[in-house]
Amino acid sequence: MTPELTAVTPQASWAMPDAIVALDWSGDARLLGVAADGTVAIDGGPPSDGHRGHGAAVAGCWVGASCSALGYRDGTVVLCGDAGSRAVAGAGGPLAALLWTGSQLVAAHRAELVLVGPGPPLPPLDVGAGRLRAFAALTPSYLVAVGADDAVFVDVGLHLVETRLRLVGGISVAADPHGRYVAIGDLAGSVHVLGVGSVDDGRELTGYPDPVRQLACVREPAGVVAAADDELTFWSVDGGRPCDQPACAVGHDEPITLIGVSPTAPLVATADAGGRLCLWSLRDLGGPVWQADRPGEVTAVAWSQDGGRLAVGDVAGTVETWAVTPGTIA
Amino acid sequence: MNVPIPLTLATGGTELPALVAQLAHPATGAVVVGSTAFAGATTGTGVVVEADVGSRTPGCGCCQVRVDLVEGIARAVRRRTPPRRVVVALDGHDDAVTAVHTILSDPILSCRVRLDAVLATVDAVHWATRLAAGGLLDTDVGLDRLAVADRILVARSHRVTPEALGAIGHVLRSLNQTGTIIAPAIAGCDVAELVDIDAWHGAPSVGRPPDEPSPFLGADAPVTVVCRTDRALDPDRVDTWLDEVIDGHATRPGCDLRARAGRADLRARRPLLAMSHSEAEHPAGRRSATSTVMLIGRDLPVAALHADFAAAHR
Repeated sequence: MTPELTAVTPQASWAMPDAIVALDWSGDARLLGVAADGTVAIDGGPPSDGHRGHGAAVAGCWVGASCSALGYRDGTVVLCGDAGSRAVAGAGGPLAALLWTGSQLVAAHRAELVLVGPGPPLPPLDVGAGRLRAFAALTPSYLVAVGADDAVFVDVGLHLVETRLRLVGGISVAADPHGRYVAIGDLAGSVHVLGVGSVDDGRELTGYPDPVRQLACVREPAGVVAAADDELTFWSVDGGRPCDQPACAVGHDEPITLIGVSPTAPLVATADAGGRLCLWSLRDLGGPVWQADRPGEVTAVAWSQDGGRLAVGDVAGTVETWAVTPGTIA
Repeated sequence: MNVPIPLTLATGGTELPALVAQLAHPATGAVVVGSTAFAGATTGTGVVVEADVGSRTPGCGCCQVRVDLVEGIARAVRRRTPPRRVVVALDGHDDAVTAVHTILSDPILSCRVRLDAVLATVDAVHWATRLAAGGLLDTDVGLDRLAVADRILVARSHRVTPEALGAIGHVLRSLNQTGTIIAPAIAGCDVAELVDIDAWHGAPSVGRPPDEPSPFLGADAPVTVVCRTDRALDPDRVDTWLDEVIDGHATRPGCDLRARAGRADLRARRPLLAMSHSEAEHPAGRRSATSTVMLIGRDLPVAALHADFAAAHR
């Protein structure tokens, strides 16, 4: 029987040697954890340190059903699978981001995207947007990248930039799960909501006191979640147009450093620099539906693909998972 | 809440690697954030960054931030065993003022690190040659970092004549009225004089400028305007006045105002934290007699600023 209020039940906890930099759930609910010292563990199994030596690890994700990709500060990307692991040389320079689109692994180095696929390696794609800072996948073959100078829509299948928009100062990006619009956060404290295919008809959401680094798009109810300083905001989006005023929520005493949106329920997890973890229902932002004060800063958050589990990693290297049952009311 | 980790900003030219090596000695427990030349050379603990400058207001030079430093410093300290201190190394081409602004203003950093001091290096031999040749002493970026530094380390000072060293000192004092000039440096310099000194947040000792500015500095060199009043200041009123000054002067052609708002100094018997401390918090009878606000910038209307300050805080 579905509860009225969201229920959160602790499931598992395991330790890694260093701060957690990335968590990712596979389609069959295996949890990948990557620590800053380069060690990797799956579902709390023995950490593997076979990929250390590239400096600090900065990213990690599942690639398909059984492979994983690890990104290191020096730009190296290592693919790990049943047949072993191999390093993929990046375009050079520090790794800015790593993303599995569903069909393509994409790494960002300086101003270039490196596409890693099953076929012969492709040359890096200079998207001409300045130093790349973030990207998000709209579809498995279409992504949006934000650089210092521009925002670009890239067709990774055709290996080209399809649309370019002059947008200076972008530092974060989120894509609508239905592929209809994107949201871009900038240094000035604004969020730009742009329709895919009609980027010139965008809307700027202003009023944030700080650069908007935490940004996500919600499937249902459709909208954009953003955080700056200690405040969480939710802008509902109807027909690609955001509403005039957001719903706001304050439940943190320190700046929010991470947000994670459930892929299946109107739930948002937020974490702050002091270690507080909150779970919010977008049906009622009057207060968090669940909260935990952890001893250290939360450094990674990930929802399982079915939305039934939430994984959290912290600066001490602890990974915890909870089972989450969304409520009917909040 | 975690205690912010002290951060030292080290800036300079060819002499900078030697300074960074001292600051980042393994015994110091420090991690270096900087280019490959600095961070990559440390024993695997450094965080390499590449300059990525953004502006909070498009086209505005006053609110530029180093996006790469935000991410790099955060990565350096978000470890299971965080470093005891952070050293950010910037070479002569990097704008130290933008780095300072980033460290002080970005919310991700302000709760994790605390700016301890800005160190700047000068090579006495290079400067003595330039003084003798009548050429440029340094770039604008180079003069800026000297103007805001808390410690200026003059390397190879033993290799120049006393007259040249005196001229160098005259230039440095014309640029900077609060920093401590250390010569000889860097070899043999006591690191304890450079780290954990809390120079940025304490009340600096404001020296008197030379009677005449150095003739080797152009009219567009940074200048320091020191405004004093014999009464306690309201931090909110000072904030408002600084906002008005920046709005009124920062848009002037050639005017480059960088108010050290974080260092607005309500002098008391002991060092104070910046503008968050109100002289009025002290009991009557223990309040300071003199308050000081200091502005550093180029092409500043000195007389007008003094008059504005007096009028605003009458």
